[in-house]
Amino acid sequence: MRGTMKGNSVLALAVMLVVLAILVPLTAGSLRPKTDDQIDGLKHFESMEVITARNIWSEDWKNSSAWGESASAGTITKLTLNGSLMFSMDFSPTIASNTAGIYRNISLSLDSDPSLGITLDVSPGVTYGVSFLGHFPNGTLFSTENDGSYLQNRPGLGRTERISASLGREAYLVTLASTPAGSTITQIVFDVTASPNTRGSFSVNIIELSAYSPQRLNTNDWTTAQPSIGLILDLHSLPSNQTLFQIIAGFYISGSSDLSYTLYFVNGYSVIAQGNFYHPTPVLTYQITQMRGGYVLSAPPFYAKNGAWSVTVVAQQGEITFFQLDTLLFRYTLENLPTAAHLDANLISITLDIYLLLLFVIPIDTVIILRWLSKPAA
Amino acid sequence: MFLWAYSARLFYESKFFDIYFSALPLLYYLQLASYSLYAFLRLLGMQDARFLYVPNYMIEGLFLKFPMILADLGIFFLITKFTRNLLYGALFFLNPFIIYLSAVWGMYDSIMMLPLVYGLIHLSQNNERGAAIYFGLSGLAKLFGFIPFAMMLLYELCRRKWRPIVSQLAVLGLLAGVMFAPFASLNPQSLFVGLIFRVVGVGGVRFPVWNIAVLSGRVFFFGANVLVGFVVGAVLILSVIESRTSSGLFMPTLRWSLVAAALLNIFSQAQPQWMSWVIPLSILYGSVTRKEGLIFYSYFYGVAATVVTTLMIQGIGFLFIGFAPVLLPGLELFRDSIAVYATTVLSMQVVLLWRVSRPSSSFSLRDIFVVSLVCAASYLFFTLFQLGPQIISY
Repeated sequence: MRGTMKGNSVLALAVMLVVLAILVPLTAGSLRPKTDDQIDGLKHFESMEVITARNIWSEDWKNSSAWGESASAGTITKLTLNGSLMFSMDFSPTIASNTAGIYRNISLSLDSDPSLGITLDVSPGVTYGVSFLGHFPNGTLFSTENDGSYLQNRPGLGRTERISASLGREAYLVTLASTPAGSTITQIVFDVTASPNTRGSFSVNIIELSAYSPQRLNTNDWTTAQPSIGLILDLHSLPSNQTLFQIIAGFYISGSSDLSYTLYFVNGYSVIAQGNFYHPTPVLTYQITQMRGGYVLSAPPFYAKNGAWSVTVVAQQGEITFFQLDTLLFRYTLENLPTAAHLDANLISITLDIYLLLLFVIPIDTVIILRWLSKPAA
Repeated sequence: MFLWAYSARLFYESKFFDIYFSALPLLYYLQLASYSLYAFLRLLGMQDARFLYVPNYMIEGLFLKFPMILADLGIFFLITKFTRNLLYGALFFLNPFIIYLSAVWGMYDSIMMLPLVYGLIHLSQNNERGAAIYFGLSGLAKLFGFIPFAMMLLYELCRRKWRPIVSQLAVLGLLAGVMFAPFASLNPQSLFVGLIFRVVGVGGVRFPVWNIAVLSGRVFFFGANVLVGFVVGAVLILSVIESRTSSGLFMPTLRWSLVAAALLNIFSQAQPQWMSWVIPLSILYGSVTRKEGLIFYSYFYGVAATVVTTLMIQGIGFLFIGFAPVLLPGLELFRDSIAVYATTVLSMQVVLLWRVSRPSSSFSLRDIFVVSLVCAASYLFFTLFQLGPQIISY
C-alpha cells in the first residue's frame, strides 16, 4: 500500500515534469498583449561628458563675521570657527517647531554652472535644510527654499556626510525655467528645525564648504581613462510614452581607494531613477548596477549640457580613473501601472479585515483547536 | 514580487532569458516552470486583473508564488511525518510569518528550507551523503543552506573521510554548473558580479540593513559584514567540537544550524524574511529534545515577526493595496520604527537562543511578555521620547 502511494507520487511528479517540459518552450515568447519591453541603451548612446572640478570658491573658516545667525525665541545659539564651523543650539520645549539658522554671503555666478560641495555633521533628533538666495540680472530676488529639493528636511544623522548640489538645478526647481544669463547666488542658508516639544542641545558642524565649476571633456567613445568626479552618458530618442521600471548598467570602473559612487537617470533637471551606492569590487573592476524608476533619494551635482536624457555617474567621494560602458538596458512597462490615488475607505476596510482574518485569525484559531484536540484527556 | 513578474513576462512575452534576475537561478527556473501554466491558460483566453494598486495581476501572482506555497506544504508534510505530530506540522504551515512570506509577499525562503529540512531528516537516519546533497541544493536556493553543508564537510574532514568530501563537492559542483550554465554562457561577468558576488556580499553595493548595528546610525556595510564571517566560523567550529562527542551528526547539525539562523538575524544585514529560517529548525529541534516551549515559542515568534515587519518596515497596506498609506496612525511606519523593529527582533532572537539553551520546558507566557516589553520600551525610547539617534536603514 505504502509502496503504491510512493509509486503514484513519483508517477505524478514525472507527468508534471513532462507537462512543464512541453509547456515552457511552447508558451515562451507567445504571451500577448506585451506588457513589458527591454531596450538596448547602447544603441541610444550619443556621447560621454567626462566631468572634472575647477574650484571657484571655498570657505577658509577664518572670518567669523562673514556668518550671521538667527533663532526662534527662547533658543540659545553659539557660533564658533576653528578650522571648521560649529553652530550649537539649545532648544527649550515649545508648542510650535523651534528653528535656528546660519547664513553667509557669497557671490557665485550661475553662468559658470556652479556646484556646491558640503561636508557636515548634524546632530540626530533635528532636521536641517540648505537653501540659497540669489538675484536675476534685473534685480529680482529669488530663494531656492523648496520642499521638493532633497536639500530640505534632511534628518541629522550624527555622522559626517557629504552633500553635493547643482545651484542651477536648485534655482530651476523654484523658477521652473532656466535662469537668465547674469543670475547670481548671493547667500547660502543652513536651517535647523526641531519638532514641537523638543528639548536639548544640538549642533551643526560644517567641515568643508566649497564651490566648483564642472569642466566637461566630450568624447564619442564609451571608454575614458581621464580622472574625473563623474561622467554623463548622453542618450538620444528614448521612449517617452512608456513607464520606466528598471535600468541595468554594466561597466568597468576603477578609481581611488575611497571611491564611492552612484548612478542617476536624468531628463533635463528631472531625476527619473537612481541606483544604490557602490564601491569598486575588491575582486573585479566590472560592476552591474540597477536603477529603479521612482526610486530617487538625491540628485546629481551636474547635468548634461543639452538638457536631454542621460545616465550620470557621480563619485560621492573619491575619484574615478577609468570607466568603460559595457551594458545598458532600459526596462519599460508598456501599460500604465496603477498609481496611488483615491482610496475607497470601505473597500480598504473590508480588504484589511479579510487580510487579517486569513493571515492571523484563522491560522491561530486552527492551531489553538489542534492543540486542544491533541491534549491528552485528564 | 513585481521583479519576479517582470522577469517571467520578459521570457513569456519576448523570449528574453533574464540574466539579470535578482535571486539565485533556482527560483527563476521554478517560477518559469510555474508561470508556463499561467501563460498557457492566458493563451487559452483566460483573463486576469489587478487588485487596487498592486502592480502584478492577481492570478499571475498566484502562479509566481506556487513554488513557495508548495515548498511550505512539503515542509509541513516532512515535519508532520518526522515528528508524528500533526500539530507540529501545523505550527509551521499555519504560522502567520510563513503564510505572509510565501503567499502574500512572494519571498522564496521556503524553497531553501524544504531541502534543508529534508536533509536534516536524512541525517537523522544516518544518511550523511543524502543529507549533504540536500544541504547543497538548499544553499543553491539561498546561501544559508551552505552552513549545514559546510558542517558536513568539516565533520568528514575531521574524520579524514576524503571520498565523501570529494563526491559531495562533485555533486554540488554539478548541480551548480547545471543551474548557472545558461547565465554563464550569456554573460559570465554579470553572473559573477551581478549575481554571485552580490549574493555572497562582495559585489560592492551598499546593502540596506535592519540589524542592531544600525541602532548606532553609524554602521553601514558595503558588501559582507565581517561579523557574519565570525558568526559562521564560530558556529562551524562549535558544531565540529560537538560532533566529536555526539553519537550522530544530526543533533550538532540541527542545533548549530538553528543557532546560526538566530545569530545571523542579529549580526548580518538581517533582512526581515530571514527570520523565518529558525521556525522549522526550532520545531525539529524542540520535538527531538522535547522542548515543547521552544516549539510554541517559534509560533509566537512568527506572529511577532509578521506584526513587526508589516507595521514597522513595510506598512500594513503595502502588499495588499500596492502602496503603504498609513492605515493605523501611530502604530505603523511611525518615527524611528526601524529602531523599534531592530530592538524587538533582537529580543526575539535572544529569547529563542535562551529557549534553545534551556533544558526541556513547557511554553511560558513570560516569553511573550519579555518581547512585548522590549517592543513597548523601545517604542517609548525611540519614538515617543526620541532619546535615541534617528535611524535610517541604508
